[in-house]
Amino acid sequence: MRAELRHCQATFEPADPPRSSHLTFRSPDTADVLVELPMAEAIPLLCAAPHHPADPTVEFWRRAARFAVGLVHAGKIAPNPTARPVTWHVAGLDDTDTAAVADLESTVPDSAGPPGAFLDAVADLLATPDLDAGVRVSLRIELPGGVAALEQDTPDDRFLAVVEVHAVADPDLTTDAAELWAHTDRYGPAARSGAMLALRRAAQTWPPLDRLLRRQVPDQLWLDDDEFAELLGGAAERLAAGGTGAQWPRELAHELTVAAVVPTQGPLTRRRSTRGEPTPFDSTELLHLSWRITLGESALTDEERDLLATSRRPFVRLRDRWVLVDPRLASKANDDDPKPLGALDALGAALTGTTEIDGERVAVTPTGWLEELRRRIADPERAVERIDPPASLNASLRDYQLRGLRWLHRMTSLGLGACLADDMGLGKTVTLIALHLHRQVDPATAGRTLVVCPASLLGNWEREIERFAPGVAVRRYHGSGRELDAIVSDTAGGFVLTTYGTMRADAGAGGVLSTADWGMVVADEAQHVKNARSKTAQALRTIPAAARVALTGTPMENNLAELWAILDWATPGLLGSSHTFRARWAEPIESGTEPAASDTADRLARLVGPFLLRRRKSDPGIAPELPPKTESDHPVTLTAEQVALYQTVVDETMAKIAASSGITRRGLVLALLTKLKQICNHPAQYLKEPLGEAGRSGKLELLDELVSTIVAEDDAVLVFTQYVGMANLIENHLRNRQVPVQVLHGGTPVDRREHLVRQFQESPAGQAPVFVLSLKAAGTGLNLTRAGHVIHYDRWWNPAVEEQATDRAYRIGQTRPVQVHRLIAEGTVEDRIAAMLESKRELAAAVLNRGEAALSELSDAELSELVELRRTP
Amino acid sequence: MTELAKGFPAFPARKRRTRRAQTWWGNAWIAALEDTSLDSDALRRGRAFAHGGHVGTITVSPGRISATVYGEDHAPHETVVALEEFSATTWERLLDAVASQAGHVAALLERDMPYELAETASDAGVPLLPGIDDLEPSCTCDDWGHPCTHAAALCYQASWLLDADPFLLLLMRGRGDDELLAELQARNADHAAGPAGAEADLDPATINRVKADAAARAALLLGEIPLAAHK
Repeated sequence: MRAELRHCQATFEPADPPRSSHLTFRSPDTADVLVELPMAEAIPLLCAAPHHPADPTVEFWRRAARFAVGLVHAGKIAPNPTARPVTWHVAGLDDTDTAAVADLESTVPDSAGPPGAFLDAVADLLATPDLDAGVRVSLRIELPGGVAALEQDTPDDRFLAVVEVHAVADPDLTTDAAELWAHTDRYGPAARSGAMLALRRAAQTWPPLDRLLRRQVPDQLWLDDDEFAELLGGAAERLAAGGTGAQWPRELAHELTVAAVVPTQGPLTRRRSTRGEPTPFDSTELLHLSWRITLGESALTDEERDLLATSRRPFVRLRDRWVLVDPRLASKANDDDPKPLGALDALGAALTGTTEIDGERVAVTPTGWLEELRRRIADPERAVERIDPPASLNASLRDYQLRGLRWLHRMTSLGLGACLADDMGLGKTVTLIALHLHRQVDPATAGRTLVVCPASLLGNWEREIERFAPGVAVRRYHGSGRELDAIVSDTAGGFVLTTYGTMRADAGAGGVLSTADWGMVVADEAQHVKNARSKTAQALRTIPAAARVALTGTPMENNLAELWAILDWATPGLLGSSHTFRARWAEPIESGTEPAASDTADRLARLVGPFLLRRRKSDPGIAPELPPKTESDHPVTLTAEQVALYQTVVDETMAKIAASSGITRRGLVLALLTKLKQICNHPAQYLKEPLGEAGRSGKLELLDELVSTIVAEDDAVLVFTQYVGMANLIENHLRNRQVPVQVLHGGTPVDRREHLVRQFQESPAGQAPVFVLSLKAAGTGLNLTRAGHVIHYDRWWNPAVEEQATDRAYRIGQTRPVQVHRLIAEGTVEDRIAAMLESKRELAAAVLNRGEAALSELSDAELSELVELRRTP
Repeated sequence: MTELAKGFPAFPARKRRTRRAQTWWGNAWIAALEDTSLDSDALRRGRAFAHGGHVGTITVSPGRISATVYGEDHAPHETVVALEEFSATTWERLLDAVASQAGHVAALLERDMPYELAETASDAGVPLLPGIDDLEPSCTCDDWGHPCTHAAALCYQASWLLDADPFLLLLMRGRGDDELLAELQARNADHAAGPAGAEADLDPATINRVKADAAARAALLLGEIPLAAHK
């Protein structure tokens, strides 16, 4: 019960007939009427209300309602036969009941209303089903002649379809249509016209119902064999889709089922490898099917099938019972076997439990190795094989990562693809590295792995591989003058990293990437190939590999075209052509026509479930495994423009520094550091110009990747930068990309700050997802715990300051884990500063105390080492 | 009965002259007009007037439809097409016949008038739709035609109105839609209840069934499962 109603004053207002009474709720403060609830709404609320502090009147009516409903439950009601309409009241009370009534009468709060009339109103309400508020109809098929009628050989008028009427709001409120017309005192005209209209619509679906409509009272309809067979053979399903159900005669068993069994030829078991693993799935195989008809638990014998096949009536006597026969099923009793299915279609049929044969949806029963395969993969997280983390992995996998590794191994070793779609931060990269290492152990799966990713993530992949798989070769295939041959010979059993752009240029007919030998191909941030017709997606498809794995952090289940594109790359053919996929899956689901839409969506979920693993940070099984705060460095590459600017500034300024001393030198050093950091951020920040075209800053591109994933996860992010100029550039950039963003900097007035903070904290998921802050995080009182991510766009030099900023999101009381991302321009002063501070404790302490100024005391040589640009490996 | 009159704003002029009646009853109405006419020229000009926006606001009322129709020279003419109202006994026969089939009542509730309904009426001796000579045109113009161009134009537009709402035909016959639907529903229910009605309502078996149903609903409430109606 809504809290505000609990504290209202509730007055019962009797009316005639009693069921039309209502309860008036008045505000406790102003005595204004808040709502008048009819009995039909008030009683369920009162009955379900917990015994909570409430206004005395509400508590009183709660007690009275439960008492009255109890009386009705005990059958203590009686009609008033002379009333028009007939009404019902409580009656036949015993001594205990009478005492309880007396107690109610004596404790009724002022102005609550008369308890006696209330009890009668509840009795009248529950005795009088309200069918005026909308009805559905259904057909109850009866066999008035009993089973004896089935023995007769004349197929007319054997079955009687009796029309039942149900309240739309409560299908349990039901009565025969005949009653609606027989008791016009009890049922209003709306119930009757509702029933007639429902039947009129049903008759458009199944014309024999027209005969019902030619009757004055559309109460029942005799059906002959043919009509009954039609109803059984699909008409009932079409009617049900339109909201008109059917119930079959109790005397007839409705237990005959048919399923296509697959495979029915060839060996039912497969040899296993010496390691006990099943042999890979061969998608080129054709599998044979046959029909199996089952009664109850056991399949029909040949004689029984003959009986079925020769029966031309919608029922047959089998095993001493009369059994309903769907004509679609009977036709299969002596039919030829269905056409064979391709192995992937058969696997899909096994997973969904159905397939379409000659335009008809039929059940499928997988057997033998196919059933074993189905069971093996149906639940991605159920481990069927014991696989330990590879010994060479320099990390310990969390439980869910180990489950992910086992799943990836299971799918790839079967020759099937996989898409790991965990939330960002759950460690997809380390899981994939573990898979690579595991595959190296078995000569059958060993080989080099090609990782295709956005350019902004190359550095990240390289560092993670070096960190988690030390000693394993990793090379970038990227940039001008790239040479695959040399890289390939360097990376046996290792990794080659490339970008989507490079891959688009170098894959395809005759492309070097498509002719090289890959043990596994990984598409990272696979949403980049969500458009299957794009050149990038087409090129990716031409790269052959024994195993294909897609990684993405954005949920795909809501975008079916994207789902198709990614899974069709990973496991070609599983979902059929994009055209078939649209017709069979996407259109029914997107049409929203129930129940077909939900039904199709369920089947699709069963089909793709084994191939798609997605865990959310918030999943109950995942969250406890996550540390409260995860920090990761994201190395990014400078663009050519950034390299040129950086080099020029270093060369010019270092020459000036060498020729100066004292305060002049100190000023020059500080200016140098600032300029270099600005260039690393974005050339536009350094040049004080507008953003210009895309692709000028590696950091901004990575920011896009991170932000789009965070937005897709409905999460929020704080972006910190030291510079107001950069904050404004980020704001403009995100606004251009239609990402809602707000900015706070040192110049923001206090009341405006508070407004921004409140707006961010209180926004629903998916709105105002990005908050850019340029002030030093020392800004007090900022509580921004809605953000699950923090991005440090530039380095603060001082870890304590960085920490303080991070704590805006990560605070006591924060219930979700926070991920911290630090963007670092590779080979630059940013990259080296941390290492330098680490190795020179004194310097680190000085920087902690005095900030950047401490760096001005470095010698020319030390300074040069710090700022000079080094080429990335 | 003039309080039953309904007015319809003028149809604007149309560029393409393709509009025909969409329903079987709209076409039957046109047929009554065209079969009566001796002058196909007047009909052709009438159609052009109807499409050309020559007809002003149309008033449909018991016994007639009327409008101001503007000639080639924009001169206004008061045009009326009369159709005979049903007598009280004819209405009785019609209402009884229609109410005797649930499907007819349901069709009218959805503002549909199936052909079978007209057949039922016809079997009861009630011609719902006008036949030859049933539409009686009159006009303030000097045309000799019967109907004149203006009356023909009015009839063509009337067929478009009928397409959207067959009750207009019944309004010309003398009864409005609300009154008719209520009456039809009452008759449909009334005749069925039969003499046993109230007594049968409260035999002991019925009382026990009502009590059992009520107890089942009470059990749902006590189980703190709110009725589906109030989720």
